[in-house]
Amino acid sequence: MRGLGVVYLKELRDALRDRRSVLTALLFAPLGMPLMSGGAIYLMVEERWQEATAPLSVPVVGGAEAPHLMAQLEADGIEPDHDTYADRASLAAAVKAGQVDAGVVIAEDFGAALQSGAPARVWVLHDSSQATAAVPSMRLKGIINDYGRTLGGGRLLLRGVNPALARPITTLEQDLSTPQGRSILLFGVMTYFLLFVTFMGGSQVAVDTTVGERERGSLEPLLAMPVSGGALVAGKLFATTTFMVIALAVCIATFAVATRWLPLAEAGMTANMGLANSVGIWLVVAPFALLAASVIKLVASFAKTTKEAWTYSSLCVLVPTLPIIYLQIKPMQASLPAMLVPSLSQHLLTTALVKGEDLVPMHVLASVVSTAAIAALLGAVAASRYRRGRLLS
Amino acid sequence: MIEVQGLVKRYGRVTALDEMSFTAADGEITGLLGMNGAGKSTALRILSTVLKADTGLARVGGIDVVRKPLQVRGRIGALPHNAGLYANLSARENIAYHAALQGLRGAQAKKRVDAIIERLGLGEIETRRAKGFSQGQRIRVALARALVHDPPTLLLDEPTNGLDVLATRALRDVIRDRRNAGCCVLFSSHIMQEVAALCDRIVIVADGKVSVSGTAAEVRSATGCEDLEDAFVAAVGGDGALR
Repeated sequence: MRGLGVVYLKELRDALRDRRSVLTALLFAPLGMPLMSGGAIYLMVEERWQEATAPLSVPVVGGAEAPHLMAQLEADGIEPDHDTYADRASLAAAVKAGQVDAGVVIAEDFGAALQSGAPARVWVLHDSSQATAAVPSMRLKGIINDYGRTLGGGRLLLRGVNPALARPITTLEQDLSTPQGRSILLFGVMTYFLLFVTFMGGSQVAVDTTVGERERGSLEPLLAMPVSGGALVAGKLFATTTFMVIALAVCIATFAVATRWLPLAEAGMTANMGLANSVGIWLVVAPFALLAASVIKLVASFAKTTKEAWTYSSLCVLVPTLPIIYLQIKPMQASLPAMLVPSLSQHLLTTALVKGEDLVPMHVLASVVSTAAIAALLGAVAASRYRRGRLLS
Repeated sequence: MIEVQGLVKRYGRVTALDEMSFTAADGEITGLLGMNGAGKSTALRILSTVLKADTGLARVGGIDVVRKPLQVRGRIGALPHNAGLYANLSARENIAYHAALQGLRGAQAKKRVDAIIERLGLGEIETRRAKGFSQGQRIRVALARALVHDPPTLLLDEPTNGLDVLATRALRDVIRDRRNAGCCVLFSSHIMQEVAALCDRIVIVADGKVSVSGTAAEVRSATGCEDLEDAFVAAVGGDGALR
């Protein structure tokens, strides 16, 4: 492997002189991705939190029939609006048009039905295809149902019957999740960003040192140097990997910092993104960079032009996201066989770290060894392409 | 010493080399003369080990280019058709990179790089990036890169392409220097006058084969032409080859 270090240092220096590519690969993508997703999470959590508690004004038709129910709504933070809509049809039209999230219609015979013991009807009008209607309509239904249950219980008591008899079964819920565990709902997608940024961080260097070098005519004199194809490829691979792990580190650091500003506590979550855990995530995902580098390198060695190489490598970026998408559909526990699959293993280990679980040493070892072994295999295939002629013709 | 015996190289249906054989001796400049597409570059690429012949034998300094490519690469200085410099690196960095790949280290490497920059008059541009170099500057830096490890064999593919008169003369001086130091210099060109002015021996190639070889006088007598240009035209198959 004589010459490996020389090639490595030259490729680093050469790539660093391309200011714009370096800034994009090492700063813009790794900073932008977490900030964009962090911003989206921030808005989502804030919105949910406010909707669930904020005072809400709801149009009501026929509210005069049910003064007690109206009082109950007001007590629970919902301001009935009796004036805007005069009848059911106009309120329904407004809900349908999206002008109103939800509305309440009290049946004209509500008072009479209540008096006679017949079911008194209340309609909650909403459009379930409107995302914003979900929380208000749920709140309304909740309040109205509670009100009805309380009334029903009162009636039974008046007749000397224990209201509990009407409820033979009580469902009790016990949520065993931890605040860290719940944070996975948001941070599960983080690995996707980490792998993507890792790929992006080095693809410029990988393509440039392969097809780019051939296009510019500097490959031919390089191949006439007394250095083996293996040393050439390894030097170029490690230069690519270096860029990738730096991009990865920037991305993790941005996630860690952004986490401090997210209103996670309001959503009942805490994320384990302290210094030790961030470094842990970096170490666990870093072997993937070597694999990503050899994948792009190999793909680029088959491409005829730089353009072609870019097309291929942007397709390659999708491959490692497949196991993660699969996991979103069909969750899976960390196991030894799962640790043999690159990207899946990095995702499971990262997830465990964010949840605050202890890593199984055997799992970490399996993940590192299998990822590195596949990388070495692909690297060896790429190196064979450097043997005489194949890359030149 | 370069020995080429029966080299054949095909690209699909096109036969680039068709049983090419010639030798080039140490302490001599051998000119590989031929029209565009005659197979000169292919032959030089096989000798510099970056391309593999289909059949035939090629040896540099007695070493087989297929069996021991790494040893051959340490003994040659190759100037490819286009200079192939790294645009983001300075002239000095380009030269130093190849010096390092040839195994030169530390003070010894610096001494060699300094010396070759001085010899080829690259002092003014040594810290400039190769991005904006003129063709002449590119060729000189590429030549410096090929000479930095003081190789006993030089393979130059049309080195005077795009050079002005002064640059061409300076280049010839450097090549003669190497010859006088005992190097084996193989030099390809499609310009007759170029070869006549510089080379000790001429190998005229046409359609992937050697048609005539020898000193200028031998070529003239073999073709029966007094004028060397006529001799060249006769050797590559007459004016008809151009039509």
